[in-house]
Amino acid sequence: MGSLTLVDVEVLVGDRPILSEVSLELRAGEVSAVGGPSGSGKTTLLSVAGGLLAPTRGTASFAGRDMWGGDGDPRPEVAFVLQVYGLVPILSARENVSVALRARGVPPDAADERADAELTRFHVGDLGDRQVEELSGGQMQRVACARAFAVDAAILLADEPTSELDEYNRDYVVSQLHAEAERGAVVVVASHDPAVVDAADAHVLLDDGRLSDHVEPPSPARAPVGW
Amino acid sequence: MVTLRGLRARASQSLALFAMGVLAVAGCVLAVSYSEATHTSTGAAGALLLLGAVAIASQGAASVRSRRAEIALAQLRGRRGVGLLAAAVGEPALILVAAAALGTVSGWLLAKAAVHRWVGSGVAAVTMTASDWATAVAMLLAGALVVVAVSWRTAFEPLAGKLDATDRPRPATPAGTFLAVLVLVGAGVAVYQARSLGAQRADWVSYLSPAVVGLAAGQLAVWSVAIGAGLALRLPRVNRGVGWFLTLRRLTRRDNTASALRIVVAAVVVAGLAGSGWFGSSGWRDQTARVDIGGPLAFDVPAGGLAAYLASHDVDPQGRWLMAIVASPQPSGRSSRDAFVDTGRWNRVVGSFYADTPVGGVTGQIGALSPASVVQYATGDRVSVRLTAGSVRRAWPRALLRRVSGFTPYDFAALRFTIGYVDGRGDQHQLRLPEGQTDYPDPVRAGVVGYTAHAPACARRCAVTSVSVQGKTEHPLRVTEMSFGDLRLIPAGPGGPSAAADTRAVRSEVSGNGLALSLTDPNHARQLLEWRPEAAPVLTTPGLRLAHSHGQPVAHGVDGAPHPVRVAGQVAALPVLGRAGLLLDLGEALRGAGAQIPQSQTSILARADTPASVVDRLRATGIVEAERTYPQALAAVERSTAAEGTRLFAIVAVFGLLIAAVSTASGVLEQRRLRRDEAASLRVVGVGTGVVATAYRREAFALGAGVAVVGGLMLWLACRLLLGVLPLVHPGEFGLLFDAAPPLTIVAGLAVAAGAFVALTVYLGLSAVARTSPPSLLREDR
Repeated sequence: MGSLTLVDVEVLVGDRPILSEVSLELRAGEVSAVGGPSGSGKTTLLSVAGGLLAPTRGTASFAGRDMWGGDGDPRPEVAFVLQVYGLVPILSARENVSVALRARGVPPDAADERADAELTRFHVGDLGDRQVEELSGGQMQRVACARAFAVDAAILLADEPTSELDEYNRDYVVSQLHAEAERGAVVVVASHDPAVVDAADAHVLLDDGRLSDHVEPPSPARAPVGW
Repeated sequence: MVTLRGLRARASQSLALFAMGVLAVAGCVLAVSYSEATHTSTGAAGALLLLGAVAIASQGAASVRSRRAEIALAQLRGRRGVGLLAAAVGEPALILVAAAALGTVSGWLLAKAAVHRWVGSGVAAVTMTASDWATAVAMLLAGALVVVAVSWRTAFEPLAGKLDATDRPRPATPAGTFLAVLVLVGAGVAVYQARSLGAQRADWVSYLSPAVVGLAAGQLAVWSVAIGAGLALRLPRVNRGVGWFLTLRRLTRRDNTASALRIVVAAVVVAGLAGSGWFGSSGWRDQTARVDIGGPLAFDVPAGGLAAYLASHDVDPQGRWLMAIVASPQPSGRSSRDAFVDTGRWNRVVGSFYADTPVGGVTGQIGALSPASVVQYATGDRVSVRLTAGSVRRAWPRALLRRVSGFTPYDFAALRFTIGYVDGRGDQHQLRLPEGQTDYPDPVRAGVVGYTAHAPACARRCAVTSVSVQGKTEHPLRVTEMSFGDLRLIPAGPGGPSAAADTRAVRSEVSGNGLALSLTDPNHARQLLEWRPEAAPVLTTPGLRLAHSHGQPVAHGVDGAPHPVRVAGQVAALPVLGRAGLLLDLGEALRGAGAQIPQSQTSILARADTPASVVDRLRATGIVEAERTYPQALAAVERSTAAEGTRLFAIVAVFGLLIAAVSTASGVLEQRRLRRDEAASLRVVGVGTGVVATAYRREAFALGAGVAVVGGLMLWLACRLLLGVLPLVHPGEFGLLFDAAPPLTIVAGLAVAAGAFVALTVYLGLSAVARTSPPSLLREDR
């Protein structure tokens, strides 16, 4: 199991720094929470970590490979739960999950079967045939989770994955994040929700693009939250 | 709430609405102004009017929907009710008014230019009329009505819906479903009505039918693409690749690029139908001009058929360049619709000119009209008669003739022959023998009398048209010889005259020694000789009923006199006459023909490549007057009210295609905005840029193919059903009929061109979207 490492990362938009001098090691097997006020750079940090953005300076790497692939596409071992869900509007809920699997070479039938299982895992199995445009915000968010969790990614980056969820579903998603970590994935979640942050193994606090705190987990293992 | 910032922010939407408004209004105003200036029916503009109104309405609705967030902002700022509706309507309404104003002026200017270019100075100046304003207002109202309706729906939907960043699909409304069904039913009704009425009684439904059928075709195209893609999705082999899956999945969507094709296909059908009509009518105009003029070059010969015949033979003895033709296109009491041509020259002079026209069938059957003998004409100015009698002096007694004319104490009168002839200039003459009372022949020998006279104006060529005799004989005479120049009338050769049928006044009989003659009426001249042809072969047009005399079919000759004929064949159309009449050999008809009927037209036709020297010699004969060329005839046809309406269809076709182009472009621009998020969403889950780009390219190809196939089929069907019943041309009673067969090359060409344009536009519009839409786009919290 490797770590996702950010070294002296700086992101400038024009002359304005969005991230400055961020160095982190995000370990596999842990759920790392990134906190901070709005505009502190949480989403940008996840984008750099997942290879969506090229840092102006510094590097983000995993298992010795730079995360930035040159074209803004994430590496195959990375899965995202985006704050805006990033679901494909022309596809149904099942197809949104399935297409992520098919992009990784899973045959269509197997991908659909797995997609149904993942949707059921997040309690939206009965919505598989629905167009995502017809779903509520919370439902879309769970479909986005199902899509990200379905691909068994080595790195799972979740940006506010519970913002639209009720407490019950929020705790369930957090538990599944831990399940992914236990599988050996690097799990990073950006959230304003204290419950989510508190449930994480490690904490990163950003303030105005700079690390203000980085707390390592007290023990190698932590009991999962919720179920 | 109209702001420059808002207009600029939605530049593509605003520009598309403005362009569509200008195009539709300008096209309709142009069509209406042009039809009014040329006194042709404005109905042809109806299809463009309906298509333009629907296109403007569709574009206006899209414009309103794109402003949902802005309308929501106005609501948040406290606008309610009418104020909120005004905020929604304001911007598209302003764009529509500006477009209508510019379109009206543009259409009027284009109409002026079109009239100047196509019609010339023969019509009154093109001015803005009430119809033009009404057209512009109608288009504006159609667009405004839909804009207000969509604005109403948007303004009064829940605020959350307006602010929802997700572009949620709009459920099909009962009104939308009703309209879709109405369009299909309406297309069926319009086609039925148009076909029932036909071209002659076309009404507004007939004129609107192309647009209604086009809109139905658009609806069918949308459904066909969606259903076809849905079926393809079920094929495991096709569905295996992510690219194909994405392409087909996109095409199954109701609310996608394919739906934008509704207007595109409708416009293509309308434009294709109008364009096919235009191209078809251009063939009709070409053929009509060929029929009207008769040949590539036509020289009018007022002197008549014989003059034309003789001149063409004098100038072109080999028959390589010139051919005489006489036709009476306007039937009168003395004539029928007959055309007479110098059949021996047909193939060489006009055979190729009429190829691929309804008259072309004549070429294959012209041999059946060849006369048994050629036209007989005389060369020389001396006329002579020789006769014998038991008593020549009593037969032709000088003394008695000196003393009296008419009866004599011996109860017989002087013989007098009257010979009618036509000279090479078409002038008619009569020559009497003896001419005066002082110059009498001396007996050549006992019992034989000879007489000669001078025939004026016949130094070159004449045709004898009649020989009559007057007098009274106590004893039979025998006319042993009668000649006119080098033409022997008695005894006559093949094709020459024969003795007229016996009457009580004249008894004549041909024998080996001449013509035995017995006269009993000294007061009136009686016909002595007649050209009694065999029944002349004729070509007729279908459905023509020949007149009959004594059970024998007859036709009027160049002199209007009836002659027996026999039908040798049937052809679709005839030169000059069109699709009703008879065609005979001119040489045959000229034998013994007298005066030419006044309504007939006589010309010498010439090949297009006739040497200048031949034309100069023809002019030098002095008998030809006006010269006409095929281009002049074509221009005359195109300026006639019979064909002027076809220009309108060309205008409709051009503006229909422009509307299709703007619809395609605006639809693609709208899709570009939506596709950026879609492409980013696909890339973020690992679908490669190349796969997304390929999916979009395949979609472009599929849409183009859909337009080409469905649009082409519907266009062909529309042409087949409607082309023959649209009042494209007015051939009149005898003019060539418009060939309503769908021109497959035109239909296929238009369909393929439209499909290629759509495919190329979508390809160019979307191909770069995948590459320029990185997943980082999705970071923004919208």
